[in-house]
Amino acid sequence: MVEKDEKRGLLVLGGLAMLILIGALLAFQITGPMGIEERFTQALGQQQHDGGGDGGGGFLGFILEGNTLAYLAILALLIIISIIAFRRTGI
Amino acid sequence: MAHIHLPDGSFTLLWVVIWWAVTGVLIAGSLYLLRRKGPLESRQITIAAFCTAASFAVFQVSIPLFGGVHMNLTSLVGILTGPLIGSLIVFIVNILSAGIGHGGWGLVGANTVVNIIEVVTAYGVYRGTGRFLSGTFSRAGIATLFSLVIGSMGMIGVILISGVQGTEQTMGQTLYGLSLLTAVNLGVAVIEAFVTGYIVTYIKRVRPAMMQEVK
Repeated sequence: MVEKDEKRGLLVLGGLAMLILIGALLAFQITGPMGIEERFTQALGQQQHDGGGDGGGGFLGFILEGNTLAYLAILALLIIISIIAFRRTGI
Repeated sequence: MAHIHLPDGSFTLLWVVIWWAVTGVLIAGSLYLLRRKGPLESRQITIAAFCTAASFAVFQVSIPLFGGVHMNLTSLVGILTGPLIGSLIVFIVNILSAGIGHGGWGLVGANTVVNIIEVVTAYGVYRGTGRFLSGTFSRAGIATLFSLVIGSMGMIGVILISGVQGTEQTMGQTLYGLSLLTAVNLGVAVIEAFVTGYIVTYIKRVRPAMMQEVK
């Protein structure tokens, strides 16, 4: 019964994922390749503005939005807080 | 995943204030309900800290898919922490994101509302599907897909209600443009669904105590 349930769940998930992917590919065919900000400005009929990215080329196409130094500082702080919380309280 | 990626000045001041006010009410309501439930367990604080760090870290990275899309793990946050703590987490992540220059301060309110919709939907669908589905992976994946679709609709609704300054498009043209944008962005929802499904399954296996709120 459990296995049948699991299979049904995976089928539903796979079906939904396929539908969404097909929709995404069709929409991508219409809009063409562009960044998220370009996509927004085009969708709203606005003038292209300066993006929020830090202008870096990114790594393997992955681009960091916003200020890199501030990102690293805040992320380091969040990781330190998480480690302290984990060591003091555990899960 | 749904995020209004527009600069400050896109919404009129009135709508900036309105969305900040809505966010304020939702955050105040979450804090009130959390206080009524009694003191937080230390375990919940640890999970919230990890979720905040993970969501912030992932959200700032533009993924080279369909020209550039974002993930923000809001559905994972909703499933692991529930709607009350999850709402606080997405508010903090939006504030921190604006702080580093990713998104305008004026849009923090609207974006938080959209992300809270995702958190609540993911939590609700994950819990709801527990009645007739047993697989954690598929439940988390389905919850993620639903939450991101509903969140995207929420995002379109927020933009259409508020109106955008500096555009001469009709509402129909804006709706068409935003629908196309959303359809493309939802491509990453599939990846986020599988990532969330895998993480939730893994956590349930190795740290079942983290999943006490949502069975």
